[in-house]
Parts: sequence; C-alpha cells; structure tokens
Amino acid sequence: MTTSSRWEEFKASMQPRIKEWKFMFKRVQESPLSLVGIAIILGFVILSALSPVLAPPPYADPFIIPRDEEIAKLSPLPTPPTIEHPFGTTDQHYDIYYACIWGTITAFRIGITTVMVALMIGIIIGVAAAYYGGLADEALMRFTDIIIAFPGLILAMALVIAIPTVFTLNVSFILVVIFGLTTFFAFITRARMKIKVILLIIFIAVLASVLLYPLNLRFSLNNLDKVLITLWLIGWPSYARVIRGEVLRVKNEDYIEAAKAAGTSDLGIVIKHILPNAIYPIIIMASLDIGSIVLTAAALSFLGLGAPPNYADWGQIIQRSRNWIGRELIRYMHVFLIPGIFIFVFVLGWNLLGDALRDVLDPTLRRR
Amino acid sequence: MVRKLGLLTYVARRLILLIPVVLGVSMLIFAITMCFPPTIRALLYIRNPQALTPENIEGVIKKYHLNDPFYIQYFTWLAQVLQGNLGWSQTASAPVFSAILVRFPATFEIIVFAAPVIIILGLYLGIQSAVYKDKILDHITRSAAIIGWSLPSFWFGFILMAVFYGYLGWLPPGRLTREVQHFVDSSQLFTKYTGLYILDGILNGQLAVSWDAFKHVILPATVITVIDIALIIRVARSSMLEALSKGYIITAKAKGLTQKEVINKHARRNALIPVTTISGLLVASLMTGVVITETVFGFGGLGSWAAQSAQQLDVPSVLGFAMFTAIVFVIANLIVDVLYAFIDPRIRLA
Amino acid sequence: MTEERLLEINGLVLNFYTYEGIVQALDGVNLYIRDGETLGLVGETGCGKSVTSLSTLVLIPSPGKIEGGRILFNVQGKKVDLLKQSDEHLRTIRGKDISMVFQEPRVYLNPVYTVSSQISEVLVKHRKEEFLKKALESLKQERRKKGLKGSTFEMNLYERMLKNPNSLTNKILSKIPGSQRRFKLEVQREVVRILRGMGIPDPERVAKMYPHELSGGMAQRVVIAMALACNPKLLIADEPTTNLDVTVQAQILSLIKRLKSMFKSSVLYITHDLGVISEISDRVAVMYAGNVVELADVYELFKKPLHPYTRGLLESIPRPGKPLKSIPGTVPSLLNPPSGCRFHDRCSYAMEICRKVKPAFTEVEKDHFVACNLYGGSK
Repeated sequence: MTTSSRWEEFKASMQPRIKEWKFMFKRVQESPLSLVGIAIILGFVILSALSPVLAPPPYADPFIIPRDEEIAKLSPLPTPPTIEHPFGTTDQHYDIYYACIWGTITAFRIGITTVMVALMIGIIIGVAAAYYGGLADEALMRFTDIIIAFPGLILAMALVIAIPTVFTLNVSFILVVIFGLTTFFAFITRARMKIKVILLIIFIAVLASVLLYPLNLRFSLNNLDKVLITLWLIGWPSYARVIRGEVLRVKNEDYIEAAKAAGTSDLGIVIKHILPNAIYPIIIMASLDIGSIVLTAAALSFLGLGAPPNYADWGQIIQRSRNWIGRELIRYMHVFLIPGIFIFVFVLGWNLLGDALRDVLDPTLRRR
Repeated sequence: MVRKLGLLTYVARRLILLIPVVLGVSMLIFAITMCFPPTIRALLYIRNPQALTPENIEGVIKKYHLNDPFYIQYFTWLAQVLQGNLGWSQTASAPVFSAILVRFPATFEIIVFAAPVIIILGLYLGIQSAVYKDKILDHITRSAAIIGWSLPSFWFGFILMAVFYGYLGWLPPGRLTREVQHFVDSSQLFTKYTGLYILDGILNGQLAVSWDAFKHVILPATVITVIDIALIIRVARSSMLEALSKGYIITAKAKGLTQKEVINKHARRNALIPVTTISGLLVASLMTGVVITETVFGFGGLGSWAAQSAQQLDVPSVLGFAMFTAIVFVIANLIVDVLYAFIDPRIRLA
Repeated sequence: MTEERLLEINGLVLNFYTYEGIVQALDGVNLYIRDGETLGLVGETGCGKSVTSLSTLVLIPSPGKIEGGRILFNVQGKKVDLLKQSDEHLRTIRGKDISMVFQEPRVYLNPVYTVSSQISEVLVKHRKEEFLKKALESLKQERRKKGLKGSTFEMNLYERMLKNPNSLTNKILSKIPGSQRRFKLEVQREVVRILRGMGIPDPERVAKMYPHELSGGMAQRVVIAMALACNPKLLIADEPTTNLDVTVQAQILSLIKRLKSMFKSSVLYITHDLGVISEISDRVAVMYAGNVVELADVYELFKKPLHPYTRGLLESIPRPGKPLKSIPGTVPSLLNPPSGCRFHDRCSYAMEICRKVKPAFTEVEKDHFVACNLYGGSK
C-alpha cells in the first residue's frame, strides 16, 4: 500500500470524527457560558505555570507553605491580609497567598492523575467485561455497581484510613501474576505458537527468579498520596460502565463482523477497531470530571484526611477554619473565603464547559 | 387483579436481587477491613470498653480466627455483623451499632427538611427549564444549578454561618442551644420519644425546644438543598426534553390538547421515570452532604461522628457508618424500584 | 362526489433552520382534497410528505418555520386559512375536524397510559357535551324507573357543567372522586364501541391494556380508533402500514377504506408504496424534493403520467417479465437544492430552461396538474 492511499484511507476514516469535533467546537462557540468555562480553565493553567514567579518557593519542595515561626510564636491566631501576605495568614502563620497559588498545581495534579488512572482501570475493566461477556461481564459489572452504589466520599473516607502508611509492593508477585495471565490468555485465544512458547519461557523464568530472589519495593505514603490512591480506586466504575456500553454497541456493527471473518484475533479487534471508535468521547468526558474530583479531594482535606498541615492545598487551608465554628468565624473569614473562591471557580470552570459538552459527548445520549 | 399480582412478584424479585448486592457490599467492606493488622481488626468484634486491654485483644484475635485465611474470617465477621455487632466506637464511647441508632435521628432531621425541597423544587425547575428551553428562565435555572453543583459544600456552609450567625446572629451552629440541650437531656419534663427534637418538642408540648431545633436545622438543610438540587434539575430537564421530543407528544397535540395538558399529562409522567431512578443517587449524595455539613455546623449527627472517627482513625466507626449508608442506599433503591413499577407500566413485563 | 374542496394547500414553503444550514424542506407545495375523497401523497423518503401532513395540523416540528403559502380548510362552510388561526381555534380543529394516524403506532402512543384513557381523552376534549347529556339522561331514567324524584349531586353537577362549561367551581367540583362516575362510564362505553368498530376482538380487555402489550397491527388500530373518535372530516394517514406485516397491512388498508365510506371523511394517505396508492386513493399527488410535481386522478396518472419523475417512479415498480428501470442519480440534499426545477439533474428530458426556472404548477388537462417546463408551464 502506498503512503498516499494510506493517508486517504486515514482521512476517510477520520471524517466522522472531524465532523464531531467541528460540532463540538460550534457548540462551545455558541454557548457563552462554556467560553467562560474555557477562560477559567486556561486562567488556572497560566496561574499554575506562573506560580514560581508569582510565589517564589523558599524551600526545596515548593509545596511546603512558608511560615514565619517567630511571629507564630508571638500569636498563633490568623492575621488579616497585609501587603506582605496579600491573602492574610492562617493560624500558625501559614501564608494563604502562597498556598492558593501552589494549590492550583496540587489541584491539577490530583485531577489529571486521577482521571488518567481511573480511565485506564475503567477501560481495562469495561473492555474486558464487554468483550468476554457472560459470567465475566456479569461479575465485573456487579462489582462496578457495588462501588457506584457507595456514596463516593464515604467510601473514600474508609479507604483513606485503610491504606497503610508504609506500603510494601511485592514486585515479584505482581510480575508472576501479569505474565501468568498473559500466558494464560495467549493460550486460550488464537495467538501464534511462537508467541505462546516465548511467553511460557518468560513466565517460567520469572517464576524461577522469584524463588531465587524475591523483589520488594517499599513506599511510604503521606496523606495526600492516600487521597490520590483512593480517588483512583473509586473513580473508575462510571467509565468502565460507559466503555462497556460503547464496546457492546460497536461490537455488533458490521465492520467488526467483517474483521472477525477476516481472522483478526479478539484482542486485535478490540485494540484496532473497537477502542478508537469508543474512546474519544469518553476521554473528554472523563477529563471534564477533573472539577468534581478536585471537589472530592478538597472535601477529604476538609475532613482532615487529605494533605498535611503545611502542604499547599486549598481544602487543607479551609479545614483550618473548623477551629472557629461560631461567632469568631467572621473575624477570620479570609482563611476560608479566599481558598474557597479558588476551589469554587476552578470547579465552576470545568462544570461550565462540561454542561455544554455533556450531551454532545455522551454516547448514550446522541444528538439529532 | 393481574396488575397487582404482577407488582407483588416484581417486588419479590427485586428483594431476591438485593441479596447479591448486599453480599457484595459486605465483601467490599470486609476487603477494606483486611487492610488493617489483626490488632485493629479485633476492635470490630469488641462490644465493651473493658475489653480493650492488650491481653483481651489477643483473646479476640484467637476467638474470631483473625489470623486464619480470609474466607474463614469473612464468615465469622458476617455472622457478627448480622447479629448487629459492628465493634466498639472509641469516638462515641459506645458500640458502633448503638452509636448509629442514637445519632440517626439528628441526621434524619436534616434530610427530612432537605429532601422534599430538593425533589419537588428540583422537579419543578427542571421541567420548567425544559419547557422554556433556551429562554431566560432556562438559562437562569441552568446557571444556578451549575453554580450549586460547583459550590464546595464546606465553604458554602462557612459563608452561611459567617453571615447568619457571625454577622446577623440569627441561626446558631450545633444541634440545640446549650441551655436547651441541657434541658432536653436532663429535665423530667422532656421525653425523647423519637430523637427528632422538633417532633419531640411538639409531643412534649415544649414548642420552644422545637423552635430552637428548627433554627439549628435550617442552615445545614439549606446547604444540602442548594448543592444537591442541581442533580434533580439536570435529570428532570433532560428527561423532560426527551419526553417532549417523543411521538406521543405529537399525538397529544394532534388530539387538540392544550400545551398545558400536553406537558402536565403526557410529557411529565414520562419524564418522572428517569427522575425516580436518579433519586437513589440522591440518597447517596445526601449521605455525603450530611458528613460535610454536619461537620461544618458542629451538628451532632451521624455525619459529624463519621468525620470525627475518620480523623481519629477509629476504624470500626467509619466502617460501620459506611455499611449503614450502603444499607440505606440499598433500601432507598428498593423503594425507587417499587415506585418505578407504579409509574412505568412497561417495567413489570421486563 | 362533490366538487367542494375540503382542504387546499397553496404554495406552502417551509424551512428548517438547522446548525448545518437552512433545509428547504417544502418549496411551494400545492394540493387539494375534495369532500369524501382519498388523496394519495406519494414520494421517496425525505421528500417532505410527513412535513406536509404535520403542517396541515399546524404542528411544525422545531426548528422548522413556515415561510409562505396558505392552508385553506373548510370549517362549517367557511374557508379559513389554518396558518392564520389562533392556537385556541386550531385546537378545536385538531382531533375533531382533522386527525392523524402515524407510521409507528407504538411510538405515537403514550407508554404510561392505557388504551382507553388515551382514546377517552379525545372524546372528553371534543365531545364532552354529548356525553354529559347522555350521562344526565341515563341517570334521570334510572331514577324515574325507581320512582324517585328530585336530582342527585351528580346530576346537578352535570347540569351545571352543561350550562356553564368554563366555570371554575364546576371544575373543582368535578375533581371530587366519584362525582363524574356516570359520565366516565358513558365515555368508557363509547371507547369500547369505537374499538369494536375497528375490528378489535375483546375490546373491553384491550381498552385496559398498555401500548407495549399490543401487537403492531393492534396498536395501529388503536391509533386509528383514536383518530376517528370524533368523526373527523379529514383523516391524515402518514404511512400507517409501512412497518406492519403484509397481511396486517391489507387488513389496515381495508379497515381505512371501510371506515372512510362509513364516516364520509376525506383521507390524505401518505406512502411511498405505489401499490398501496393504486389500491386506496381516488387521486394522487406525487412529491419530489419538497414539491408536488404532479396531481391527477389515480387512473389518469397510472395511464398517462406527464412528469418525467412520475414516469420514472412508475417504471421502477418491479413487474414480472419487464426489465427493472431506476431513476439515475440520487435524491438531492435539501440543504443545497438544485436551482430551477429540483429534478433537472436527474431528468432525461431536461432543457436549458430547467436549470434556471422553477416550473409553475399548472392544470394541463382537466384536473390534471403538473409542474414541469415540458408542458409550457414556465412563465
């Protein structure tokens, strides 16, 4: 096949997708609210890119909030905004301005990594459920249902405290499982003999190496890491469900039958034909969830389960206001008000964009 | 007659289908418990504070097979749970089960105020928004819903508290004013019939107590309402829009019905179906909302207790609460399913 | 057959304003229906048949907008332009004088209401007075038989409602459960009678069913029952048999024919099936890309089609022993319709003029209209 004809073919295959993008673009242009959403998100991106300039980090780890210990000793109470501390300080004299600026990066980090990992888990489970069907489908989907059934924050609370601080990852064991499963699937599907033999040899080699030299990795996790892991673990079910639905829909279309008739292997069909058709809207849909993920993370921080007290994180600062439930709250209003505005506007930006795009993207809710 | 029988078998079938879900939930909770070392897991089996000595815990570990393979542990654990033994709550200084029972009325008070407003007002706004699609009302409702959905509940709660208590001094935090609480707890004149202080106040003829309790409930209920109403508005709007695009709407118009009749009779009934389904999610959302708002307002219910327990790493309490919410959710979904069958005649055949 | 025209559509133009551009769905549609006749409207999918029928009820699906033309309808001897009527007036016409039967019966029945409640809705809407009188009469008779005098609350309510149909008090009183028992009973009886008239076996049972419990043919009978409940002057049937089995299709066709002669209604029968057209209609209108290109008596049209498109259409009917012909080219997109005559790029008789000038709709022979430049229709 020549390059140009391949290009033509690619162009033709991309045609409906391009149409979709155009429609989305049009939709965004039509709705002023989603433009506001984009502006907000872009604003935060710029803010996070400029944070080393806007708030130069005094310590090696930029996420540690600077704190004047001398003053904190004199009075642990929050101070209102001054020129030196534009947003004021919390109790123990942590600078709120610094926390808000660097908190933006924390928010993006939480949001983006969670979407990525949750999406990956979701894709694997959703595709597996849809493709293998039958009992595997039933089991995976019931599991998904149960996690969805739990109120997210409450499951997260339980998980955060359940994740141990020192985490030992048994690498050898994981390797054995991975290669064992791959070999197993290679044998039950129609893989080539050569591949089967190679996989079997690797599997035996890994098994032997485990017996000779077990490999363990030890991680120590701080609270923020635990929050991240928790969000990964509770975030995937809705994606898995949508992807399963999409794959099932695509699976029955004619060209998949054609690919099957042409002798493409099962996994090949999923990777080459089904995923590209199912995945784009879901990726965008998932990335629009960054807002609500950050909101959940902030809620965990607010409950005292998130970032440590000196870490630049919006929810963590607000949590400090819990010390003055009552009449003093109004005197130290800046402590919760300003980081709260950051969270609110950040989440609002994603939701505004999401509201305009959701019906376009939702594969179960196609437009006319 | 046939209809009624159909409904009964339907409910029965739903009940049977609940069993795997409940089992799944219990397995998930159990899987979480397995993350802890046996010394902490032992707390899940203890029912009185005297048992918290190290020697005793060793005994508990032996007695409940906490060093045995997980499937044996699961069944001993499940047997305990089914007997209502969820362990000892250090935060509440009481068994988890009774801690939940004592605190539930307070949380229920908030929900009783928030849920009807969320459902009725949310439905109304969502439907109006769909009927007047792309008109001013629609834009306002949608924007308000998005804003509500984006509000961090704890932040919104703090703002309301700062304004209505810090500045205006009207609506205090907590569950009752201190003197009233003292009166309620110790006076001979006051019997806690239900634990819902507003209702108990009326039953005891102490309207001042009811009034005080009501003042304390307003703000938490408002926070939950403003945030969760977006869910109902969104679903009501989109399902109403879908219903309005259906063929039977054209039929109804072709019959010569007025716009009002078409909307109120033909579209709304059909739009209610997805909203009913989503109410199950609303319950989950309410339970989450309760954790945050109760913590913000220092309202002594289930939510603030769970938050406090999580902070103090009180494992049995947190897991007990998680289990409780899961059960509430499952029951709510059962009710939703039954309601569903009433609204949608197609469901009983499926 | 009287020469009186029941419905007359003149130069109806309708556009859809979609995001991809303006779809010129109807581009000057002309047709008329006489009292008591059946007009078959035939054309390919997407040529604007259904939109024409919905426009007749002034129920234009959004984002459509009528840009010009008139729809004259004979209401009590007076010709009124439906497009200029108030919504209130239109509502008294819809369902009573003009009613409609759709392609997918189950889509057009509300899934959450029983058959009887959906049919009685039309009856209560347009024939309320009749049933109130009936109910009152039967209650009076019953009391006379028992030798009682005076009147019950229910009877009083009916009398009040008859005297003063829009009074708020009556509306509130009628909400009291059981206050309209006899009235509802009468309506129910009528529903069952109508269903029986549709050839539905066991109508009492069917009346209590939900749409999903009905078979396709049965559902279509229910929809027809609903449409005929008020003896409409015009019944619009939009491909009512397309998605049904052939045997059921024949049953529905003969049902419509029978009912038409019974009720003396006119029928606008829309289909893409020429076989059905020849079976059911008195006259035929052929539609192509938003235009009526030919309108003639059914025999005349089949014997002597004038418009090249009609000829092509007739030749594309498969007949044993004859080679199958098809019209070259494809149906044009109505987003960017061809200039002049919309058929010119597929027409083997196309002339230079067809590219530029849209042919007028002219009466070439008596009662035979055609829109084609071949017949000197251009001006």
